[in-house]
Amino acid sequence: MSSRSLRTFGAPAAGILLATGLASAGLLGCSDTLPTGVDGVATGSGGTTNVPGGSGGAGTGSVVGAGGTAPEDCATATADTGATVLRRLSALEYQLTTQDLLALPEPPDPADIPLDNERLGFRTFAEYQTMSADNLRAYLDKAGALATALLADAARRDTVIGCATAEPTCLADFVARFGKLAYRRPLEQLEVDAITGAAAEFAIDADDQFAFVIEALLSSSQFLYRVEVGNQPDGLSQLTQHELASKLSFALWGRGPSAEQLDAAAAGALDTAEGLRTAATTMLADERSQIFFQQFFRQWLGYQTLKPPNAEDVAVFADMQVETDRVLQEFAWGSSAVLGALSANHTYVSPELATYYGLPAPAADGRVDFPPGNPRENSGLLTHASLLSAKSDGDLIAIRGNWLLRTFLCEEIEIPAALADTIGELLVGLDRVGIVEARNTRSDCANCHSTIDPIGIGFGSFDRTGIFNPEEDPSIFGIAAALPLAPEPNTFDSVAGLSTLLASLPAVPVCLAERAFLYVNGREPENVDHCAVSGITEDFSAAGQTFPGLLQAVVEDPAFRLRRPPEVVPP
Amino acid sequence: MRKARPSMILRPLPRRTLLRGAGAALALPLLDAMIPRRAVAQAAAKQRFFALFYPNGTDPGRWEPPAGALDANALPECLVDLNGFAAEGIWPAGEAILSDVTVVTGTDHSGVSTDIHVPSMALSAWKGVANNYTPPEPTLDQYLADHLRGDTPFRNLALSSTGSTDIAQGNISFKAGGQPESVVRSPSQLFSNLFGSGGGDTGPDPAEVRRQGLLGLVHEDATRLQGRLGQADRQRLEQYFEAISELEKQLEATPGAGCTVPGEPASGGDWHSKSKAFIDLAVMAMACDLTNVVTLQYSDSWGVGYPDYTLGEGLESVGDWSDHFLSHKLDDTDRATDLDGLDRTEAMAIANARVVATSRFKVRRYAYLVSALRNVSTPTGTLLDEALVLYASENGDGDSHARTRMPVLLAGGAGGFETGRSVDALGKTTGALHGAIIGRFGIEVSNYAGAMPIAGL
Repeated sequence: MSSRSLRTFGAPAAGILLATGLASAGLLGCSDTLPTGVDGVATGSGGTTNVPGGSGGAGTGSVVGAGGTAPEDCATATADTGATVLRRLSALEYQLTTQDLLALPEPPDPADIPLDNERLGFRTFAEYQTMSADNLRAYLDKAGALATALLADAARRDTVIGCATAEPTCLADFVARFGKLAYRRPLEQLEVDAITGAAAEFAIDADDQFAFVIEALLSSSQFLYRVEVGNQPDGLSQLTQHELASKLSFALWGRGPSAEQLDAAAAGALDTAEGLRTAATTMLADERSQIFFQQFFRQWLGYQTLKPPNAEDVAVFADMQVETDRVLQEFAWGSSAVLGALSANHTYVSPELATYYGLPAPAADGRVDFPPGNPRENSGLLTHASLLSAKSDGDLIAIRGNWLLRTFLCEEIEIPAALADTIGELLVGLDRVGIVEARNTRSDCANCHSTIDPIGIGFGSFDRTGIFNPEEDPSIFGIAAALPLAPEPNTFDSVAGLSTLLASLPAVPVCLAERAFLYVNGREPENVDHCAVSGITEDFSAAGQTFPGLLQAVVEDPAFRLRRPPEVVPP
Repeated sequence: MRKARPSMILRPLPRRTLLRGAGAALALPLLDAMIPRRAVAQAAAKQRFFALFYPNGTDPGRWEPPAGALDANALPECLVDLNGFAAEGIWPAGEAILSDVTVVTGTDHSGVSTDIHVPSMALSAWKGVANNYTPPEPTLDQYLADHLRGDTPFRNLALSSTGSTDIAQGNISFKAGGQPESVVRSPSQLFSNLFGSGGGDTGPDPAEVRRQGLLGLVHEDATRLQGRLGQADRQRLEQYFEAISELEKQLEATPGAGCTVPGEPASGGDWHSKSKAFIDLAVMAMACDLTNVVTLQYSDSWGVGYPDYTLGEGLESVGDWSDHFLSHKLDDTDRATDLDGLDRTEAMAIANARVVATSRFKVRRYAYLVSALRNVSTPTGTLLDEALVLYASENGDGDSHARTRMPVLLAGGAGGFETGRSVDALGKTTGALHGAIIGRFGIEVSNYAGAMPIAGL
């Protein structure tokens, strides 16, 4: 395991970006008839509601098997891909890309970079990454600050500019070199001329011309947007070599491609499946993948922002995030099956966090093996306080159950409108036990609650700070802890049992594949992506369900080379 | 000796005689069947719209006055502070605003927002299409922004005191097609956007020339890009062109005569301090003719609480419970559980009192905003005279989550709006409410989101 700490960037220990935790779903209820699965839903924009398709079986809310071409026909079907809007850089992509471009030791402070809107915990919904005057102003100011800092830093300045600024040819050379990296393709001469011309006209002095160039290039639409025109601007198209290099570097490293990567692509390095595989393998062995996907795990599992109840808890809650980062790092980047993290029998904690958990003191590297009989035994991530602690003030039974369903099974529950209007009347006079009982027995509520409450009950002894508290006794609710979407017998009497059940469900790796798809592609998969998703899932399994194997599968899918713009909405 | 580079911090700039053209038409909101019959060009009188969102509804039975004139001596419990109130914490004492407010009772938002805690749908009159949390049509503020803008440099301000960027929780303003408006979540950032470094410049500023040159370059560059793109991407890139155009207007703005640049707000803070700072800055922005349309989200559904305030006494004190938990009285797992051991009648009385206490707090914050507008003089009266100020929430009955009987307050005199009364709009949809508001601004709509505007509003 790499000894490099993957502590988050920037000063705030709470994470790269400001965020909220999981929204409280409050009290959930459902009708007998759940909305249909993906088939009937137009999915032009992000945020498809995935719900259990039908009443039976381990209903997967995911795209695979939801209709369209049968899986066995995927082998012969022409590759296709769902529509993606013209994508703006996410805040994370902006940070990582500018770090490279400006040879910064760390990514720049995220505080003044436009935030991404969030859905399902993910900040990668391209649909919602809009441009506005506020955003452009922020990009301009940020670029100015970065340029100023660069020019004041002799070493970085030489590295980035690459020539003596006093030399008459340096500016144009710089524009061409830096512009190629910023635009992720070589600039045309007229572009170089336009930029150098404007710099000469508007910059304050000779040195400022370089700052002007940096600001212009980093505020340009061709930097801020990931342009994918391919071989035709409308309809399904095949990415150009440069575009593919970009897509690959953003997919695995969350940043624009290097000059070497662009040049290699232009020389055909990615033209074949073997070529792309080689490039992907190399990139996945590089820690830049780990850096980028550390945020994936935080977004996927929902621990980007925790809510320490008191000021004194802030430090230990930050340690909780690092605990989860480290366990995931171990299972994601070794040769383990990544889902083994669900049932790990050890963790990595700071001494303070160990005390907080009531665990023995950790070894020098932070490792603690759970003592036999410890409530966290063999439960891996599922007893991490980062995941179990309350991120809002709602009902933890429903929240945790819903979180598990959404995170590992890609199930999304929606309250039918009619029921939402009457919830209050149904529960008058009931205490907490009575409410939980009622919502698990009334037919209109139980259809959903009976799929989530038994899970939440299973976590019932873990309090709002995510710590096991023997005085919290979920048996008072009279509901057996269970994972209802698993084949029977699906009850469990410890979280370790839940881990085992979860790990046995084929829907879990499918869901993880879909979330990786979302993180990389900026949208949830739609019907038309189902061959891609099933292909990715198969390759993921064939690779022993390693995380690099999953990412390899995502970028090696034939659809990765394609782009489809959205249908145009007539005015 | 090398000349120092001027600061790149934006500052109020001398008005240029020539506005650089945007090169691309502003996309107006798509209205299809809701196209107003006659969009009245804005008269010389300015008109303003300000929406304040506060989550978790209220207790409608203790909020709704009977229809007719508001009686200062017989106001429902939640509304008594419309008669004025004492200072608390960072908020000054409030004068009576009763004669400036109209209460609208009974509106039905359930056809728009089909889920229980969805701030993102609060200012929408249309039900979601692709999902239930992004409005398919522009929210009310966005609809009004183009009509009310005049020549203000900021088309609208979308402010939020919650750091959450969750699409449903942290956003209340949406453009067409479910596109979230860009939100300012930091009063310092708003201050910087509006007033820059705070100093006025005389004469041409080298930084301005440089910035204009830079914007011109990226505009030209984007035009080259546009030529390569397909239709959908060109449409998307319009956001970039519009951003340049809007930013140019903002950069060229000079706060009007009589505009006092306020002190820079502190950074950080909770929902309360941020909201106060936002209100103060936004009112100043209106006074300075920097904008005519503002939305402010006080909090998301979960966050706001009252630990630094004394709301309620004794057992009725709201303590450290979140507004969300307090809104759920006795019959939800998400509730203040300190009443669990009590006799139900007693517990209910306390729970009710707590909701009244928080509702009164919300009304006092609305009153602060209304008073702030009223305290700004204009040549013809006050800012409030030219404005409509809307109070809105995502739920009606906070306890049950019902989206009927929504808490709606409207203050101001725009379009001759009559205040000091309560209007019974039982069963009228949000479309009917919004249509009536829009009508006040001289924009005739006989049908908005499938509804006729509430008559007599």
